[in-house]
Amino acid sequence: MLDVLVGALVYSNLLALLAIGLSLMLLTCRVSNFAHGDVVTTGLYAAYTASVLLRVSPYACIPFALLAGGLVSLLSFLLVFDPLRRAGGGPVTLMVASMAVGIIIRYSLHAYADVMQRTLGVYTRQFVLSDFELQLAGLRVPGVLPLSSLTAAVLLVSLYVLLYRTRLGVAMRAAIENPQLAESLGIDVKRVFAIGWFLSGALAGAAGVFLPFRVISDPDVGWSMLLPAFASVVVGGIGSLAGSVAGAYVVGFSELLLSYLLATLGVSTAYRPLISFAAIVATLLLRPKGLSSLWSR
Amino acid sequence: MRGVEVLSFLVSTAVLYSVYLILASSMEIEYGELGLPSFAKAAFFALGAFAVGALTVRLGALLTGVALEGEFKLVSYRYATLISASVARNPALGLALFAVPLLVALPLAVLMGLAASYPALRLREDHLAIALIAFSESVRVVARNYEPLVGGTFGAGVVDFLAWLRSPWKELALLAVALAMGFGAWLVEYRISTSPLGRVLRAVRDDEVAAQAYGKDVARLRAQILALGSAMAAVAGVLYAFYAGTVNPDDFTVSRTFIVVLMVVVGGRGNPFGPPVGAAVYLLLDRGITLVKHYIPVPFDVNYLSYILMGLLLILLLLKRPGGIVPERPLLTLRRALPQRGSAAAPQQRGAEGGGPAGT
Amino acid sequence: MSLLLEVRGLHAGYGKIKVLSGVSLTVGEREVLAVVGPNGSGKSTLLKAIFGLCTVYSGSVLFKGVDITGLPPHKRSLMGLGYLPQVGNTFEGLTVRENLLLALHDGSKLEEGIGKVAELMPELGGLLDRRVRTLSGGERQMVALAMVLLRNPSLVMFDEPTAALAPRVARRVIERIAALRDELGVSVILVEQNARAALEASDRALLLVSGQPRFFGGSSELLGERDLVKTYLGL
Repeated sequence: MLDVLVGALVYSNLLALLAIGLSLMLLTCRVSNFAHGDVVTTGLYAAYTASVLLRVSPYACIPFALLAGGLVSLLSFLLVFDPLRRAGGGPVTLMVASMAVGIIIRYSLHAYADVMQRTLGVYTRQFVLSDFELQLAGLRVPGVLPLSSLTAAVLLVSLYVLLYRTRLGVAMRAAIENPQLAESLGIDVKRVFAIGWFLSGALAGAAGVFLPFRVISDPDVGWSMLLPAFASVVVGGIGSLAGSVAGAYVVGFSELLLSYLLATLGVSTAYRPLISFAAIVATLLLRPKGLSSLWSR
Repeated sequence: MRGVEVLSFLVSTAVLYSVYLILASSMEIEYGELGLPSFAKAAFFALGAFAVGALTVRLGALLTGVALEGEFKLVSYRYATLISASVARNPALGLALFAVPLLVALPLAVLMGLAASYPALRLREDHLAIALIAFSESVRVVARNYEPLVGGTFGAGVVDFLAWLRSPWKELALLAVALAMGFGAWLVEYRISTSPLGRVLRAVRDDEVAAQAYGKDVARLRAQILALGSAMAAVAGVLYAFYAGTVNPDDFTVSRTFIVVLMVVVGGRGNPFGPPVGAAVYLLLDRGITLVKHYIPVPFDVNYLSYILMGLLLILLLLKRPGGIVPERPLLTLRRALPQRGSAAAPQQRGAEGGGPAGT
Repeated sequence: MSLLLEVRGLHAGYGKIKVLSGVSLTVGEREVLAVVGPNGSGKSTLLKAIFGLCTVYSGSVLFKGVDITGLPPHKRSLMGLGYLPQVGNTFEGLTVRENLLLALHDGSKLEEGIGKVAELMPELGGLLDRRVRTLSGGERQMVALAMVLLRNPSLVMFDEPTAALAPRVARRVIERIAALRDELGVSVILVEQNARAALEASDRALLLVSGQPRFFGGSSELLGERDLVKTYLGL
């Protein structure tokens, strides 16, 4: 049971890092970004490569993951999504474009994994990384628990401070709400959005660092987190940043606890993804504003 | 020997082309014409394949009086071979095994398509797309874990319904069946696109409220089109399963849906010739890279390259030529009307229509 | 009297849809210009064209003697051209304070700016930390006006500021806007449906009909043109 709770918390931390970025990209470009899972994987391989080269723990390589994820996301904004948005591409066109971006990233990582395995002589597919253990309040917990929680907390709080306590953040929220008015006030909307995309990608990249400590990893692993992350956004209420974070913990914990419960009844835990898929469909149909309807009218 | 290889390569390419032509045609009607992102395509495709995977072995065993022993996932391939041997002596059995899964899959697909039109009425288009993708992945997760259906990750064996034919004729028969189905589906799409109904679909796509104001029952239209498109995808699934000789749930991922969308967008949304062009471009790229893969010196699996190129192609087209290779043509009525007015501006206007990408 | 704004032979619209054809006008310093005319005559489009928010096919816009026809909106705003659109003129999800912060060219002068706003519009002083969404219609317009004035404009363009207000309130608002000239020394272009109130409060008037200018001159002269006023303004 402790294992389940630990797993749920770590998983929710990572979902929160993804979901807030997905929300930010939805708000800025109206795109449901299907490439965001692959940005996670980019962070994973960036940190993994750095840790092999520098002979340090992958945890020490989080900055590389932040940078790699941020850059990939920024490039996708500058080269694909911003031009498409300006050309008047609708949300589904942008979504299709994001699937293409995701495929380019994913299969580039597949190719990179081959190269990395050859040149660095480490496993780059179907691998897990060994974690250290900690004594916390008399319980033995894996290091990924406090570290992922700390990372998620620091990054999310920083993002909050940026958005609500700095002029740049106010400008970003303003540009999201009314780009034309923002532009007429002298805000460089494209630059502000680009910063938002870099941050979204950086957060996703950071999430990637922790994945190999929990699941068997390969270049497809981030993609498999995408729909649960979308479930977090939907459950939290589309368009609400705070909702996405809340949604991530609701989805993360319900996935693990429900599948644990069902497992005790003899249902295979392999059905676990159904929980978040069902959450997407049910929330959209029954309560489209999700959790955010609890605090906003 | 060489001739047989060439034949089988050509046949397999043509059959795959037919499968994709059916899928792309259905996506064209739903997404290209009506503007409905029916992104659960892989699930409806899977439905047809699962009907074949779940039924041919069981039904064949029933009809030939063979008792199935052992877990389905472990024995389906063995029984598939056994029953294929019976089909070799009994063409009628082969035809029955081909027809029954089709007859089971079609009504199921229609029902599921109608069910999918329920969220289609209530959700914004991008939310609908996400909901359908989630649904599609749910179908795959269930199929890969519920082993009695099609053997889970083991997959299921499929009876060779043409086992009663000898080698070149067998391939040619499969080719004929596939091409008939493929072009039949495309003809349906072509007829719809060029008929008054096609005009109504595009009107709903471009302005739903206006179409409603002109008395079009949008809800009914969506349900009908989704039912039709889903049935078409299921037919493609049946064909694909018989062609592949095996059914594996992991063959029906979101990426499969994406490839079909890619064909429609690359070909040209709203143009009836989009699906055949888009499917051809995809297969040319895919097969082309397979053919020359030994000559490309890269330190990784060349197949990755074909995915990357496909993604780049789609993005470049969206940016530079959003109408696709064969863009949607403006309404015929408008074209006819312009010269009749006899104004000096008419030729200029036509020039502008031909030059610019069709607006969406 | 020196010219602040000069519009010469302006043809403008949205993409392929032409709205204005051949509009010329001038606004001097400390002058109030009323733009009146029937619905759909292109009054709002004229303001957008001056501010750079729609397509200009030919003609030019000169502000303080500089040709600004090709300049992006925010540069025009920096030059002292203020524009208050009819809707979407505030960030509703942001607080009043945040709105004011964005309006300032230099965010460091927020306190100074807020002091100035509180002086001009004491009602806003107590609302600084409220989200604009939670304010009344009148209060929102006040915030929007404060945002424009904080940028120290020399010319402020109002697009139907009274559209959602009761007629009696509308007249007061129009008089209040005209008074800005004397309080702050700015010039004003006022697009209005309430033609009589606008004409009475303004110095000069432009009558637009179907995108074409039918009259440009003193407001009282236009009120004297019985036929024009009756046909196009229903007065």
